[in-house]
Amino acid sequence: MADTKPNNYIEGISGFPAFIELTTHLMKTQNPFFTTSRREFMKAGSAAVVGSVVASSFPMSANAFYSSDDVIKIGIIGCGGRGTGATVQALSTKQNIKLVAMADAFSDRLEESYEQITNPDAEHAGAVAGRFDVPAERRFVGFDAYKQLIPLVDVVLIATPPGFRPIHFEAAVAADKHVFMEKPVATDSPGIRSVLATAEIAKQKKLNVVVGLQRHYQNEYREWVDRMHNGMIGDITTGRVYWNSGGVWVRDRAGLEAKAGRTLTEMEYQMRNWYYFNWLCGDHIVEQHIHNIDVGNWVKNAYPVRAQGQGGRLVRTGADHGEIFDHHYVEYEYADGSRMISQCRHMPNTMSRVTEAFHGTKGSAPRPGVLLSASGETLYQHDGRNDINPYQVEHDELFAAVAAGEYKYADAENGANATMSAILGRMCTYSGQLIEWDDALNSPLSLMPTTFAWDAAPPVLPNEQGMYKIAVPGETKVL
Amino acid sequence: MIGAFMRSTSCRHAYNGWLVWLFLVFLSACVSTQDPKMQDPEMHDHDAPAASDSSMPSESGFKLGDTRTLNIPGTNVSFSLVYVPGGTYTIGSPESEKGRDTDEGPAVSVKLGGYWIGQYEVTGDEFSVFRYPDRDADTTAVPGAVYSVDAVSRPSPPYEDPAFGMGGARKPAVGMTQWGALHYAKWISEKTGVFFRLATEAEWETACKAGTTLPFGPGVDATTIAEYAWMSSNGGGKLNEVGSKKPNAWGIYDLFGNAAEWTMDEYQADYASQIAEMNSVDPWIEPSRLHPRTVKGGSYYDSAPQLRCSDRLESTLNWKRRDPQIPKSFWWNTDAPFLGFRLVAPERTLSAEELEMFWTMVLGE
Repeated sequence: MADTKPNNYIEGISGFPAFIELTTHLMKTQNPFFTTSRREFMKAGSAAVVGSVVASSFPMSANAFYSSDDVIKIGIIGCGGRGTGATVQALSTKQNIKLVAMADAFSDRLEESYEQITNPDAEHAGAVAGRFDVPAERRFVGFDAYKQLIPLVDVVLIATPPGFRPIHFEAAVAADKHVFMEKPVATDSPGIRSVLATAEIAKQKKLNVVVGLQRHYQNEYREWVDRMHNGMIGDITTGRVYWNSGGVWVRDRAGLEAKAGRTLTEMEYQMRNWYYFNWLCGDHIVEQHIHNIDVGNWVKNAYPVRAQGQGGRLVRTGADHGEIFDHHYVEYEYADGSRMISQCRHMPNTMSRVTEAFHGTKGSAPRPGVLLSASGETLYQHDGRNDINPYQVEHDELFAAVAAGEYKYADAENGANATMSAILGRMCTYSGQLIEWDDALNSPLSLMPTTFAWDAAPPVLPNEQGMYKIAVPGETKVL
Repeated sequence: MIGAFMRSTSCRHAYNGWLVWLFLVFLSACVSTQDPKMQDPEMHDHDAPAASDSSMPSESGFKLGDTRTLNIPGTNVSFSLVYVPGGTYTIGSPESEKGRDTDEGPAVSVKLGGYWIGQYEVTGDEFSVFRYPDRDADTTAVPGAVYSVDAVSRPSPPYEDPAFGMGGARKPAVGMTQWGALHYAKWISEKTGVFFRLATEAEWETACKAGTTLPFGPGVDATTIAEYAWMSSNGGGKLNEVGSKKPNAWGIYDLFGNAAEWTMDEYQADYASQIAEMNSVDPWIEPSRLHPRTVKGGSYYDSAPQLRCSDRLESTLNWKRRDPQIPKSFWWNTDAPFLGFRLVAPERTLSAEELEMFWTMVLGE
């Protein structure tokens, strides 16, 4: 592992290494932007680029090719609250990291994020001091901002609304970058298939990919799930997973237009109020409840083979609530016949429950960190009060691997399948049908726009009353 | 006193003479006596505390153990308070106390004005009136005041469930930051016309020890604490309904265990020495930083030593570690489902101007 420099270490970053076009045909076709630096050469997961010879000649753990004062350059695509959080966590790791570029669809979001990251009064100020260098020319705005950012960095952080994930992930891996990307990783089946294909390429290129399903990086879950895998409560026959809460933010059109002092295009409005549009968000069963569904799959070591369910919207029914449901109930079936019951709800004043529980042939797991025997005796209880922040662990582990030149993380495939599980649930609640996994995964139905531009029409449009079409079980086609 | 509010450079001072804002007028307007626990003779049938003259009626005519129930105007939600007379009490633990930590002492005298303290931790039912505007109503007990549901600063939607699924109408409300708890106190003050805030450390510990110098107050010890507390040995690792264990000697429930409780004070390791030096009525370590602040009472995670009245817990940024966003929520801790709060209404009143300064000071707004 590289030596750790003090956080205020800012040596020698007056600009970027020059990019040159390499003359080797293989390199040129696969990677037109490649630095002259040997360090970059190794660190960017170049094994696949130059073929297996390099990979077998130099052990991946050998980091003698780049000295300890080398900086791992990162860039963030998607500068909302989560992207800002992820950036600060990346900068707070022990490795020698520098934020050198930022990208967002909106300039104001990017600037707010930069202010948060660099705020000298923030709790993270000490941890990130001297670790950012993002002059105006490396702040990229608009739908294509990611294209400008990716060549400039070693590791790409992706935290845009989920609909863009397949596009950005593909571009990052094509450019041989390690990736941290948030969940979910797509909003429709074509997006999932794209991410699965990119995941395969990332694997071949030995690019580390961490997906923000942070329960996998949380001690309480790791210890709990390990014990279930080891049979402490027998075979798992039933899972129950929940994200029942009061809901999330709404950015209403009137408020946005008042702030902007002008009428927004429909594309701009949907991009701002993205939670309520399926091409961007996937509905809350995908955007939030994926965490719990993913835990269910993890405990079962499997993905569902089919599902059926129901849902609708009863409370959150305004124009600014777009097209998503406010509740879903799904019954998933695994190949061994076991079931996972999934509930998610966004309704204020109702019972809050965000958790997972399991029942086995020899006991139960009533909540994360707790295992009981069939007679109710405590078999395991994790005291998570002093666990470290799993969001930080994600970055600590990813950047330790990158710094050491190791290939350790390939989260994208599970990220895609977890997302697909949640999309399958949405397909069931929107259609009211029993749907097979394979049919869902192979559906050609795309939710995405054909053109990304502020004056382009998004795939769903409001009627004269400003209302959007809502799925109707029994009528809506989802495959 | 107003000057004291304004001294931003001073990190600690006493705040003297808090008064319940128009307390007498509105207490009589809001009070109901329907809570059966108020009628429970056992609750009032106890010895006067040795360390004070609190068996004597206060100027206002209230006496130790008096209990009142207040309705939240415009709702069917109520909450109960127990009266603690002003006097001189002893807080801090002696070195001989079993399980003692070094930050608990020395045992010192403290002068307190009279105060009403929540008989229970603030419940999910109560907090949800504040949290959800459609549970609230455009009504207040303050004559002439205009109260608008839409004008209240309310908690933002938390990312996950701050209560980890353990919450409920009669469970302690948990997971809010101290700032969030203080906002609740400001709101309930505006609703009821009674000035509420959190307990100071000294008020909290005095109520817990019920005027004695015993680790758990009279009648409770390490062998019987499980009858009074939801704790590690009996709490099932989760929150339980308030008031479902025995009350302490002054009729106050869940001081031991269940949810731990925010106080008003910044945590200082030599707190007892500092307030002894202050030698003022109602001593308070005014916070000058976000953490640590003092948490009392222990929770369902804890065992007897942490449930002692003098035990102290330091708040930490770590309780917000899983907040995925930056800036992190002002309202919610993502990792403190064991932590709620209890209200205190000090007996002495404040002017409207002083109240405004107080809220500006403690909320930093």
